[in-house]
Amino acid sequence: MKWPAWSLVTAFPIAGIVVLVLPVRASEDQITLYTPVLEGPAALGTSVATILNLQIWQTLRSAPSPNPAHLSFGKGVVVWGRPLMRYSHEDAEARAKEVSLLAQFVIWGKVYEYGGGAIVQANLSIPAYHDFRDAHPERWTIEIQSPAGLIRIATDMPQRRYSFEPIVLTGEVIRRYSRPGALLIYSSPRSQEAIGAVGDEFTALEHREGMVKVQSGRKTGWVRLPELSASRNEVVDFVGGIIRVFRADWAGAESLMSSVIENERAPNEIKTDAYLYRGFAAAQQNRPSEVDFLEARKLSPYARRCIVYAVMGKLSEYRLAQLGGTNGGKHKGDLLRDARRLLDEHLYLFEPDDEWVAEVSRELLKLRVSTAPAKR
Amino acid sequence: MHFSRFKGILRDKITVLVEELAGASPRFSYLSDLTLEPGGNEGFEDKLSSEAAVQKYWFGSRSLILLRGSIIIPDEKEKNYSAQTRLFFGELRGTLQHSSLSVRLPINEGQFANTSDSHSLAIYYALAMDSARLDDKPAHVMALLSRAQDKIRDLSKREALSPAVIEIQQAVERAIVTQKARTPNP
Repeated sequence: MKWPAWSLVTAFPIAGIVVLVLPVRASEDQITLYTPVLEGPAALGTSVATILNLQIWQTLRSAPSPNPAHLSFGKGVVVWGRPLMRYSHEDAEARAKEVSLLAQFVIWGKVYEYGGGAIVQANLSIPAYHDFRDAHPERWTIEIQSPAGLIRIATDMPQRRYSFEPIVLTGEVIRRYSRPGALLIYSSPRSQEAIGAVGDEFTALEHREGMVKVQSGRKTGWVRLPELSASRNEVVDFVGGIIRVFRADWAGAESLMSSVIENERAPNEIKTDAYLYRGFAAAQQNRPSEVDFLEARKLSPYARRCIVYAVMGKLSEYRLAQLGGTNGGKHKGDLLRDARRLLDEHLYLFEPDDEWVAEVSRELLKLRVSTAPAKR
Repeated sequence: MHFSRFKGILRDKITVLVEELAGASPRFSYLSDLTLEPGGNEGFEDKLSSEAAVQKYWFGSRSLILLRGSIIIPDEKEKNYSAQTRLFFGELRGTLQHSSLSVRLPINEGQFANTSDSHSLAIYYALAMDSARLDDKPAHVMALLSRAQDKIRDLSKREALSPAVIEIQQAVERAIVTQKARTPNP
């Protein structure tokens, strides 16, 4: 490998665009996931993208069930569309930012014919840009009362670009979905009577375990979603979990991130971040988060993001204690000193001009927590 | 056909790997020009007949890693084609015993993830050694070594590590110790 510039540009036909909407209060922020057709053998790439698209759509929920607190998580939308021009996060992010779309997520990738079978390599892009939302629950912000007034410490989400474990498609999936029109619509959930096939344009109406009711052209009926591989992939749970974070559905995010954590085939990087998100979700529900952050650090001991979230966890527990909540019997001051120590012991993971370290150090001083200044 | 497909997959992997690094820190944006050479579906004709010739080519071409190898046609016992690759790290070998490591990976769908991760591991390691050579800040080198460790964990989750991966794993661990030692305690 060497360093001169290069580019790879490929043109693809335009696919249909479909919007899948969960009806909720219109005044709240909308969260949009965009899923372009996967590059690769034509019909198979389209079918696999449709299946992933519908599986993720199944994880969207407008409110918890039961819902005694009358919560609403806003509007969740999955938009299906034309393939990316290039196999690239940058391209995916550019597509998300298009004014007609304004998506927060793009799940994209490629189907490779490899060996005697086929593989799906899926990626997730979460661009940071002004998307006109009022609230940003994914940015962890902690407000603490100090002698100098209210202080605010914040951090962005752990990462914004991911690659998933390759999905080895089963022979059955390859055989069945390599031809156009293979995703059949049945008249009822249990019926064997196929009344049509999912076309380029469709609208998802409701879902049950493993199946989705769709309207495609003039046909309305049920589509059965197959398992793409012999073992469950982490893509749907992880993407669904982050969408729930964006919608402040903390209990829901915890549930899906727990599924990622329990998934033995999830990549180390994804599993690490699933622990970070689960701890974040616990903290947002005023529960301790330390165990999850410790587990994340065990998986990725030298990842900057793990230290950031562990420190935020300590500050969150301090805030909770300040509000009179439980803090596991720890002294409030110990929590702040733990946060400072954690940071000091891992300064080698931060650039000398790291803005977050500077902000936390400054705010901890206001809380009268200090150590000898770091000599770097 | 196997070679061109293998090369296409590796090219995609490099694109995403570099973008993920740049997404984590703008300090990695210098990697945007990292590319797989030559372009197209074919490889260079391999006329390098000695280690010295390989070293000279690696240096002169400003390579990060030189990949040399062949696609092995299955014999009666084997079902699948295999990719036999020799990864030459040149002066970016760090504490590896030798400048090159050899990996052989069957070309079948079940081995796709291992093939992808083995090459990602080699790239992260070489980038980390390049960064260390340039005396970059420990945080920069550690970010690359941390990602190398992710790949080692992913490989070990699927099956026993190959001797080549174990050798890189040990070199990564030594590099981490070195980088930590560069940062004075607060």
